[in-house]
Amino acid sequence: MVDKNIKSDEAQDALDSIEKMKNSGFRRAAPPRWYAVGMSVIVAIGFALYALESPGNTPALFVVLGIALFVGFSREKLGAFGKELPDTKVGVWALAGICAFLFALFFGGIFIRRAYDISWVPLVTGLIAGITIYLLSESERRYYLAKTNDGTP
Amino acid sequence: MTKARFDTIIHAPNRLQICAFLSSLQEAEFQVIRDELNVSDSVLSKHLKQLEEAGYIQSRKSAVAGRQRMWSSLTKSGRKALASHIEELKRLAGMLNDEL
Repeated sequence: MVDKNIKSDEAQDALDSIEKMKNSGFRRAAPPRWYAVGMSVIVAIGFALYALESPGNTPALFVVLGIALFVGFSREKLGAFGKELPDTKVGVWALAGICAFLFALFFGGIFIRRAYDISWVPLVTGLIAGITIYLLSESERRYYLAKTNDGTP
Repeated sequence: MTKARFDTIIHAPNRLQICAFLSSLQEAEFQVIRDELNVSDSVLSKHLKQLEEAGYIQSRKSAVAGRQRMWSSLTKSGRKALASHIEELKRLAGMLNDEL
């Protein structure tokens, strides 16, 4: 049983230990670069597949299944992962905004491809989506690494 | 504002480290936690069980290539209890700084 009446220097030691372990957690939560590259390639290919003559549901399936399998594989490989949703309301809104942007890009690309028969548009939207995902993952990585340097309990 | 409360379940060194580590994460695998704490499987299992019984963590099992893996995460009440415990530690440590 732990004694409730601990001394103040013992409390400081405990706080130091918490800080150290929180930093270790943040280091583990930072996604590696290969994760950013993998995710962006899957999304970019999925978007770009709409450049094909009659892609059917293949691109959408490729994105959904590709992301699900890649995330599952990454989690098993890394053994730890950060929070799925941002902590702050601003972060949640920013994430919602990015999702809306990607949806608009996805359906906008399909619409232009079909309405105006410009086959290369999905290639451009794929490139933009891929870069967006890469930058997002990279910013998440930097966010966690910055917390490691800061890391007050 | 988090209310300061000393938590005897969390305060034990290994359990404190487990909670602090998990607080930065969504979920972590058993081996990862064990390596971070540098303890044996049995010691970690014992502490995880105590935290689970207190409702501070939850665990799930997954099987990959026929091998079982256990994933743990802090529950909402676990995060709350850790935050309250940290507040109390800060209060106590503040007394040390006042003395100096």
